[in-house]
Amino acid sequence: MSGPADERTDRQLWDDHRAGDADEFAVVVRRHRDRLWAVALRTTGNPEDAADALQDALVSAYTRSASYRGDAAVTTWLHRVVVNACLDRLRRNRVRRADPLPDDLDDAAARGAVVASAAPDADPAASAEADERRRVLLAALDRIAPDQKVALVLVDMEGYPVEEVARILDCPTGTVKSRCARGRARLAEELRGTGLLPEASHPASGGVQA
Amino acid sequence: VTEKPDQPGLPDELDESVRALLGSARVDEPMPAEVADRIERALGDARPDRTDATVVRFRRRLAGGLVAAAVLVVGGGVLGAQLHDDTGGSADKTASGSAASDAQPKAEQMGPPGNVAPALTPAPLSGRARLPQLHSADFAAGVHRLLRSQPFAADAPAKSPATDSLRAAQSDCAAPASVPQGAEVRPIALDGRLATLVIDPPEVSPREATAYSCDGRRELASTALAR
Repeated sequence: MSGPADERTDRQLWDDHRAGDADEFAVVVRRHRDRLWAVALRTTGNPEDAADALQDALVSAYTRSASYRGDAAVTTWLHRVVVNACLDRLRRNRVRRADPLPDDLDDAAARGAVVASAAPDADPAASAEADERRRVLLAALDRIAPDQKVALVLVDMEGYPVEEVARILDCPTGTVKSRCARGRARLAEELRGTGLLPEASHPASGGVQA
Repeated sequence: VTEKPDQPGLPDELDESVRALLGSARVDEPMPAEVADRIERALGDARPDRTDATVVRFRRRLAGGLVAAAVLVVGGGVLGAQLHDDTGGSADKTASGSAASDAQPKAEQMGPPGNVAPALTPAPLSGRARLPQLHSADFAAGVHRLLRSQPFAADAPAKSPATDSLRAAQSDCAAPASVPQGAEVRPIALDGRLATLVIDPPEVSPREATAYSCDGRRELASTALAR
């Protein structure tokens, strides 16, 4: 019986799963689902797409577990599958839209882009202000290139080490750093005039390319 | 190939401000229960060679205590669609997986197909539930035998001794979308998989008995009944 106190490593559980005990997959997913959810939510920008992407990714991981070569941690591989599913959905959504970028903040909010995380007993005014800041930030984040966005989500937002993100994205660490730097610059441009960043330190020109 | 920044980075102060701003938007909440439930259902359904009994066990392990919102309804609802005779054409595959063998209760202790007793003989379950075993190959005959041994509720002279355990197993399956008014819903094992049998009341014409997949979405088999 596997449960919260299961002390087997992810790799041991995964090996058991591949050996025929499919239940162990559930244990691995349960261990990491909250972090996977956080990545999916911030990458896709709304809970509906996050749930869809996460479901697609985990079902795919389950049915194609044989493709896991064991050259990365199980959680890294799961994150990679989830991130790829989110990017697929993100790109697909942008292609579908006549206007590929959600420049209407209210529209983004209506799609669930904003997920309030203020404590329920926090000061209502402070909570409202924090929610508004988060809403503006997430809307701006939704306007930058997907590969930069996911790098920022993983590194700056969710706090994964650059080396781990490089393994998740299957690219060199230098690429992760580059995407983060370009993403931050683009995000700073998107946030110009919103009051979320110190205006005096904005670059003089607005020539940042996504 | 490492990508090279094509423009100078932000000034340190602004770079730090952007990073701090992003960090403040970190998601701290756990995955919502409804999302966890949806995903575990999808993963359970993705098991190609498992019985529904093991799917139920799988779901419970994944859900980690989440209570599946699956309720069977006896009666209520309106029959919204014409039922079809589909005894063998379902996409649902015959189960071939192993049975649950741990201490999980109720229908998830249904035995493996290879050990299934002949039709209508309750499977040798170690738990509370003892489900009638039906097969799509002779679904009509199986249903008629079932109704002879366990009559339609309204016609039954007395409560069947198995009623309690059968009812106990019902919470493991979702109710089909449409159930005729007055119909009886029973849990069964069809080809070794947990399923739901909907028996039309005598006044419905044509009166049918229909087996649905455990998620309530797919019609697996149907047969006409005498009124």
